[in-house]
Amino acid sequence: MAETDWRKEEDAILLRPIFATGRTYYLVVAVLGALVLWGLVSYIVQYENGLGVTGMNFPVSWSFYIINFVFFVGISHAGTLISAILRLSQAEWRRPITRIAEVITVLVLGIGGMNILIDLGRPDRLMNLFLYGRYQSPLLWDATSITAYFTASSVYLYIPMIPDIAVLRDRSPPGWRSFLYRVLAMGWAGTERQHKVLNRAVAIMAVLVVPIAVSVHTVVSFVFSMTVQPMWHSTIFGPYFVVGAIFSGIAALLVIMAVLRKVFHLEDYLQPIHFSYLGLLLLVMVLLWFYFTFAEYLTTYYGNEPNEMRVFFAKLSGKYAPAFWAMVACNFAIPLPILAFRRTRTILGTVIASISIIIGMWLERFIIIVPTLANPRLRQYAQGSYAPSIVEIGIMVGCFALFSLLYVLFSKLFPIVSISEVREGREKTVEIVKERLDRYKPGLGKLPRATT
Amino acid sequence: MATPRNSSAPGGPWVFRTQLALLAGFSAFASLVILWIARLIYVSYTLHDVFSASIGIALIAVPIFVFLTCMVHYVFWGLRRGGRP
Amino acid sequence: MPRWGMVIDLDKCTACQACVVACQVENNVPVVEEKEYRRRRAMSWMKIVSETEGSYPDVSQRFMPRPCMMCDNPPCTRVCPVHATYLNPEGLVAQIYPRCIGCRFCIAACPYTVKYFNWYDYHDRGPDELRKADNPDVSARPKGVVEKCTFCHHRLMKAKDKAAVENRPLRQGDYIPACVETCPSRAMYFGDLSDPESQVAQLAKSPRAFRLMEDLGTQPKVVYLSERKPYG
Repeated sequence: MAETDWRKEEDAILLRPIFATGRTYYLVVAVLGALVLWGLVSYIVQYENGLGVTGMNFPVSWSFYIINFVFFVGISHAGTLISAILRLSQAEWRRPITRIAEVITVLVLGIGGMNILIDLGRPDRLMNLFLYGRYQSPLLWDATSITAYFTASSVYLYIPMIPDIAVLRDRSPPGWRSFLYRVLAMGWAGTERQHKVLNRAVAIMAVLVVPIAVSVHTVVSFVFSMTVQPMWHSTIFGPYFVVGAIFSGIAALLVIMAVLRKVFHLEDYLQPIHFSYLGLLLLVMVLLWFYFTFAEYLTTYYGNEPNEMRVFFAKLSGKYAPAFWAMVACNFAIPLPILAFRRTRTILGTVIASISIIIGMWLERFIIIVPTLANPRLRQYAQGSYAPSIVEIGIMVGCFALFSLLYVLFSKLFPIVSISEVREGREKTVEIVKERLDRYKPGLGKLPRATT
Repeated sequence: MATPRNSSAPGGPWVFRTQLALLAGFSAFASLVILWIARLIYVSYTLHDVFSASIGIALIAVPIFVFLTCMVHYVFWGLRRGGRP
Repeated sequence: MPRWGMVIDLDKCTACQACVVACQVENNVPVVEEKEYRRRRAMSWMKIVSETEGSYPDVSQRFMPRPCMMCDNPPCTRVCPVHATYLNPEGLVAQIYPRCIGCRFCIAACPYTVKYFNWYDYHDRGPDELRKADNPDVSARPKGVVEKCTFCHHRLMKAKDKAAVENRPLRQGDYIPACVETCPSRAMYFGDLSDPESQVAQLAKSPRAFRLMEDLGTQPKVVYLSERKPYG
């Protein structure tokens, strides 16, 4: 019978979430749904009454929503880095991770874009953006590049998924899901010509997606660095934000990997070595992030420009000092020792470091945005202040819940670990790596040739 | 791999129609984005408002969307052709 | 094409705030309730900025009226995504209220912090008595829209209309913003900076003349004349 066919599959455990639904699933969906509803209700309150229901004021006219926008768009770099760069560098250990990362990217870009819409004072006038937009404004650069990245990463998520959907198509009992899989499988039969088409497409997309991703977070940083405000108008912002994005992306990926491993019993596929390798990448990003932050703050301090110094001291010893030093602790002091030593770079260790980094990177966005706004050049508003309101907290919780909910729904419909890639790895990894080693084994005097 | 049941058989005309609709939807989306960019170039020209910025962004963004549409079409028709014996 | 500018003589300014009140009444600037004031949402297009120097007993305070600087190189218009704020040919940085989507980028970009945002429908929520004082020539702004000093642009429109009806060109003194008109100590001057004969153009060349944050390159068209002798 088709329904039990899937259990006989070699990687049945990867198909289990799709075909077998337990009680926990419904519970999780219900809880997440309730949180999303809280966010939705908060937004309706805001839409009806105006942005006054938030904690934003004068001069801090940007806060939670913009912070969340930058934060979520930053996490989208998880997909690109892992999927595209590891594919391009032919790292074999990427195989179970690619789809997990790609789904994060697509979902998180949507939610990031949604946060900008939530921040608008007149979302009902959104058409003005399409009718009267100005490409001199960094917000338009944002809109265009995020649209491009969202489209590209959706395509990049879908194309390698086709063989997996074909497996589902062949195992599905008749119903709307069978129809869905038959449609999305695009007639995949695993022929050689089809493999060629797919591999070529994936290889090209992997190359294309990287510069688009870099451009996205660069233009997000340009929203701040293109103004003349103290500690925003910094040339380092472009690379700084990209580094921060990759940083928070890997951390988010690690957390989600750990959760999926636990919930779906993926111990065979997501092994400690995957966490260790990603942990090493995360370590590099810790050091890179620290380097950029140090360069930024040292330059400001040495320059001693009065307006910038007011913002500088507000961050380091003034009103925002707790947030600033918490950020440094979460992004550097805590993860560095955990990730630096193999003994602590376990699954638990990397997850703790990642959670710390996620909190730290959210704080970093806060520290970049709010203190500059609160200390404007014209001192009439010296020491502006800001505290979030319940509406902003509700919407933020709703965003996180929406991300989790959509992720859960995705894993219900499609395999969250790329079955075809894992299988290809199982069949061909040894061969691929052996061929590669043959190419640079010294002193054999052999030309590379096709292995049998 | 166990013998697939529904395999590569089209499984009814509705499957192909839906696939075609999805492809058309994607192409329409990309076209709308390109149309949007064109509109913004036009607006910046008539309002004498930094025309160069619009052209600059368009030179990068439009090829990306054109390329993505071509890629999607390549995969769609390529898989269809490759599935036929 | 005239380029409208303002000169404010800080020596004559007594910081009485008549200009602030006049602007508020003329332009239907919303009065926010006390709760909103405490949440730092008060709006005043014209604002007296004060700076205290030194400490007791050697204190001195300086006061500067701060309207919109009407920069010739405005940082705010560059970043507007929908062309809702723009530099018009007569040198005024104008706002198109129906087009503004409330993204508040211009507020974040302005180094003089002259732009304000309607966090609620303040105009409609204001006390009824103030409704009677509304100026019908100026549109009230709904929630979610950015606003700022416009050099009483509606007065310019009226003056142009009057001149057109009377078949004559616009004269010096036809168009004058409410703050300039109200100032009891006649500390404010207004006119066409591009007309070398005009009073503002000549005052702007005075050795006492300075502009705020000139080094930013915004080319503000509000010129201040510094006090003649040390204050106090």
